[in-house]
Parts: sequence; structure tokens; C-alpha cells
Amino acid sequence: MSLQSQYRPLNPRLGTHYAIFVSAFSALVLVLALLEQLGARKLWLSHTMIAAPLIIYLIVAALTRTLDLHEFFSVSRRIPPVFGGLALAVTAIGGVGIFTLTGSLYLIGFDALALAVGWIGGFALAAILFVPYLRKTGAYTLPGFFRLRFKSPLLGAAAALLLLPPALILLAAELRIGAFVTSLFASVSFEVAVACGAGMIIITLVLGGLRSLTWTQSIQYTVVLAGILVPLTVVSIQETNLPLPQLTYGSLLEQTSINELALGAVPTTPPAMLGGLPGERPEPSVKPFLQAFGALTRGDFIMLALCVLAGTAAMPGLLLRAGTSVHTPQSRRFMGWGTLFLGLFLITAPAYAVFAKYITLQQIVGTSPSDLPAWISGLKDAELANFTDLNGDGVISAKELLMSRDGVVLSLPIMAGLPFILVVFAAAAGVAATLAAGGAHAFAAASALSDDIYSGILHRSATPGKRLIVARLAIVILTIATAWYVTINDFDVLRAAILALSLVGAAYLPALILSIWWKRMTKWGILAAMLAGSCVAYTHAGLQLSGSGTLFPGLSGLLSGVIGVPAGLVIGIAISYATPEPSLELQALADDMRDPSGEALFDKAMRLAPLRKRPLLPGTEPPQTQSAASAKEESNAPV
Amino acid sequence: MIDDEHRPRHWLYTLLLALGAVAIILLCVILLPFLVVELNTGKFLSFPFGYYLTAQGVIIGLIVLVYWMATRQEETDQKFGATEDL
Repeated sequence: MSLQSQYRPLNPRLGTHYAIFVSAFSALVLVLALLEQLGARKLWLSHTMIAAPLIIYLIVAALTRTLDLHEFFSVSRRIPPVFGGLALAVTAIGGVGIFTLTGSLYLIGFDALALAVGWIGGFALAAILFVPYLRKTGAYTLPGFFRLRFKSPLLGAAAALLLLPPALILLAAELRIGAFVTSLFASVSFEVAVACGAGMIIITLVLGGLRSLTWTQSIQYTVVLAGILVPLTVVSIQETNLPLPQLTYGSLLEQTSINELALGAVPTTPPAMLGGLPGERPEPSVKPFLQAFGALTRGDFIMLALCVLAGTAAMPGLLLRAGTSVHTPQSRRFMGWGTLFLGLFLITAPAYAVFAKYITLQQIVGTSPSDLPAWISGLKDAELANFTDLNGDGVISAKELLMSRDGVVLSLPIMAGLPFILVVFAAAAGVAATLAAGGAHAFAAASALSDDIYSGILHRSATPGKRLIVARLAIVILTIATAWYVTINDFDVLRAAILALSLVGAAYLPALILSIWWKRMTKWGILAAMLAGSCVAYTHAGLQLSGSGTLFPGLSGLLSGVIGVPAGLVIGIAISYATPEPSLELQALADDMRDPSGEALFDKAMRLAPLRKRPLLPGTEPPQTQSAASAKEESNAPV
Repeated sequence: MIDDEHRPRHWLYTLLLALGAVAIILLCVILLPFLVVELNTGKFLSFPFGYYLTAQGVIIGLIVLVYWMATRQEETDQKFGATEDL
């Protein structure tokens, strides 16, 4: 096959290599657990447990370094579905997902499930509507898809500019939450922890781009899931005698509800405009866990789920992975694995929250401040929890115990009296998730900058070497700039992530749907859809969050994606009808994109371009330089 | 590569499959919150049923949907000769 030369064969010992690194990590945990029992100092244990996995990730990144452009941006399209799915899931979860989802479930119970439903819905939507077609197109980035699909570098550059703000907001959120955990366990200041996180991301990406990122992420997913599941399973055995926390926590719900009622948690009425969404400071959990719509209104619940759904389905850091699978059917299976791995986490998080809630209610609430268990003072010192007997009745009621949203994951093993190593294990899971997701967002932003703005518009004949240098420079500059921003600004990671998902959804969801599923779509229509969706979302978010008005009364600025997506769809369709029908060539391209068999459009354009004047980036060639071969190839396509 | 004569029918099948799947996803997200409170009176594995559907049912259902869609789409592709020749 003429295509074979482009596809480097897959490493046949991939599974073995993967097992080696996972075993190394397991060995590390077991040895540290032994040392703890032998009396090793906690400080030393926590430092080792945080730092040693970083060395494992760096070794993987160094082993998968590359200087090849195709490897750097698409791993030569040879990631097997399972490993692709691992990387995809950990990108979507991220440190923000682990800490804020679990914490929000603890604090507002049922209502936080809006996030989980939106997440999995977004994955399913992307799997069905977008990913197979993005794989067939084969562009390195999401803006690159638009450039290739409409043969318009301008469109690619516009999409790349719209990509930068949300991707960098997500990166900032990951760096912040990662630094929060690291500074708790590694005795470094917040600023140093941010710098370490940024440094890890930069080293991983500069060494091997998407290749290093994918292989480190597949290890990091294992760490993330184990870090959540191991402590939870131990607690589940302690409390219910069964090692299946996801199924056994149902039996605790009834007791939890009774305890909640006894301790003064009464059904609440939700404040409007996402007011009940937990913030970063420790706060009381007054809403009964099972009460539906006591912290978020039903409308807010649905809109929050839809925003997260839109943002996840169109997230550039996830979609650029479409190009790494071997062929189109494989890309569908790869999304299947990704959904499965994400689902595993989403099913586990509520169990984690319920066990934490059950133990707190049993041990803390209703006890007098002098009889509290010893571990609560540790949590109080770390500012993860707080309690005061406000009404002076001698017992702590539900209102008087404040829990930090982001600290719930770290608190459960402490509450249950598990060995210290399991507490740090959960922290290491958080750090792993942060690095994995932060790396993916940094790579999405940097590759858009280098691929779609630098070699798409500014310097079209850039050599692969130059493009790699620009990509690496972009990674370094963007990550350092974001890290600097994180050290000087305070913001709530959950709200930042929801805002970023709204902006991503508004910019790309209408454009993606229309460009893949509607052949009449023109490039001006797509440009208008992206700009209109973004304008509406940015304006509404800006106005509402600064308190100077709204575009749509009663809608929180964080949920601006809900109005941005329909605006983008309507304007996109209208402008498309107002502009002349796309050329036959573009329609043939659309047909080719919908055909699941055959070579990726990107690879085909590379192959057919005339050798001497080969444009280094398909989609950027001016129409008159089309070679005879390419013209012949196109004329074979149906019109 | 897919034949030109098969192209419209292949795309029609693909479109119908996708529309069905998108309808299921949106139903899960939009309709379920309206039913949760009533469904909570029932029990499933000692979970209130509405809660169980939101916390686990939707997630398991959508995982199954993505797998089922991938298989169906591959069957459709095969039927119209659009199979991968790599």
C-alpha cells in the first residue's frame, strides 16, 4: 500500500511498556505504605509520593520525545483505541473534575450531577457527530479542520484566535487546583507549586508534543482512577463490608438522610442564577443530599448540563486527538473507550461524596466541640474544614460545620482513619489529573498558534523544523504567561471551567455541526457562526459577571453558552444562504469527508501537492498552484 | 472508497442514526430532570430510582449508546462498501 509509509507501525510491546510504568507506580505506593508502617516520617512520605510519580512521567516523556512534525502533532495516527481513550478521559476529567465535582456533590448533593450528565453527554455527542469526520479530515488542530474543510487559512486563523481564551482559562484552572494540592503536601509555597506544574507541562510537551502527552496521560489516568478508587474501596469495606463502593453507597443514603434531618439539614429553596454553586471557601452543607433542585433551580440544572455538554463536545483539547487514531472506524471505538473511562470516574465520584458525607455526619455533626475526633483539627489547620458552635448549644449542627469543596477528596481518607499514604495517594491522583489536562489545554492553544496562525497565515512556506520551533516556543510562552497570571490572581476554578466550557461551546459547537452535517455551508457562514456565537457569549458573560447588565435576563454569565450556541446556529445558516453556494470542489471535499474509508484528507493533500512547491500545510495553497494530479484526483470525485 | 451511487443512501442512514442518537442524548439531559422527583419514590438497588438514573443510569446508558452506534455505523459502512482498506 502506498499509504503504509506514512503510518509507522505500532510498538508491539506497547502493553508491556505500559505495564512496566504502572507496576513501577504500584511498587512505589506499596513500598511507601510499608515504610509508613515501619515508622517513616509523614513529611518524607508525602514529599516522595508527590515527587516520585513526576519522575515517572518525565521518564515516559523523555522516552517518547520526537523531532518529527507528524509525530509531534498526530503521533503518526497510530494510537490504539484503548490508550487513546485513557488519554481522552483524563483530559476531560482533569484536576478540576476530580476535586470540584466530588466536592460539589458533597456540598450540594444531587444538583451537582448536572456537571456529570453534561460531561458524559458531551462525550457521546462528540463521538457521534464530530470525531469520525475530524479523523477523516486528519487536521492537526480543531481550527485546522475548518481551514482544510473550507480551504480558507483566514477561517483557520479566526478559529485559532477564538480558541486561545478558553483553552488558557482551562489551563489556568488546572494549574491553580494542582498548585493547591501540591502546596498542601510538598511544603512549597503556592507560587513555587504553580511554577513546578507549569514546568512539568512545558517539559512534557516540548520533548514530544502530542506523542509524549498521550503516553504520559495514559499512565496518569491509571494513577487518577487508582488514587480515587483505592481509598474509596477501603472505606467501603470498612463501612459496608463490600468492595464495590459504586453499588454499596445506596445502602448508606437512607441512614445519611435520617442523620441529615436529625441534625438540622432542611430542604432548601435554590437561589437564582447559579447562586447555590459551591465556592472555594469552606461552606456548610445544609441541603439534604438527595433533595433535587435545592441548590440549583431546575432550569439552572438543565442549562448547566447543556453548557458543560456543549463545551465538552467541542473542546479543542479533546477533538485534536481525533487525528491520532488509525482510521475512521478506530476513531469511533476510541471514543467508546474514552466514554467508558470517563464514565467510570463519573460513577465513582458520587460514591466518594456520599461516603465522606456519611462519615462526617456520624463523627462530627451533633458532637460537642470538645469531643470531636482528632483528625478534624488537622483539616482545620490545612483550611480544608472549619467549625464553630455559632448558636452556643454545645453541639455542632449541619450549619456549623464548613467543608472546603476542593478538600473533600483529600478529607475522606483522613476522616476514615486510613493510613497516611492513601491520603497522599489521592493527592497524587489530583496532581496527575492536573498535569494531564493542563498539558492537553496548553498543547491545544500552542498548536493552534503555531499551526493555524504562524504557518497558516504568517509564514506559509515555513519548514517543518521551523514549525516545530514555533510550536515549542508557543508552548513555553503560553504556559509561563498563564502560570504568571495564576500566581497573581484569585479565581474560583469551577466557575472558570464552566465559563470556559460555555465560551468553547458557543464558538465551535454550531460551526462544527454545520460544517460536518450541512453541505450547503459556506466559509463565510462558518466565520459568522463562530463570531456570532462568541460575541453573544462573551458579551453576556462580560456584562453579567461585571454586574453591568445582561443580554438575557435571569441567565448567569457562566451559562452564556446556552444563548451563544443557538445564536451561532441561526446566524451561520442565515449568512450561508446569503452567500453563493460553495464551489463544486468544496462540495466534493465535503463528500470525501463523509466517506469513512480511505486516506485522511490532510495526508492526501500532502501527497498530491507538487513536490517542488509542496505547501507544507494543506489548505493554505492558493487555488492556481493546484497541480494537474490534484485536479485530476478532484475530478474523480462526484459533483 | 464508497461508490457514487451508494453515497446518498449511505449518508441518509448515517444521518438517521446520528439524529436518533442526538435525540437520546438531549432527552437524557433535558427530560430527566423533570421526572426525577416523581421517580424518586421508586427504589432500585436501595437507591431512589430518579437519583440512580441521573447518577449512574444516564452514564451507563450513554456508554452503551456510543458502543452501539459505533457497531451500527460500521455495519452501515460495510453494507455500502465504505470499509477501510488499510
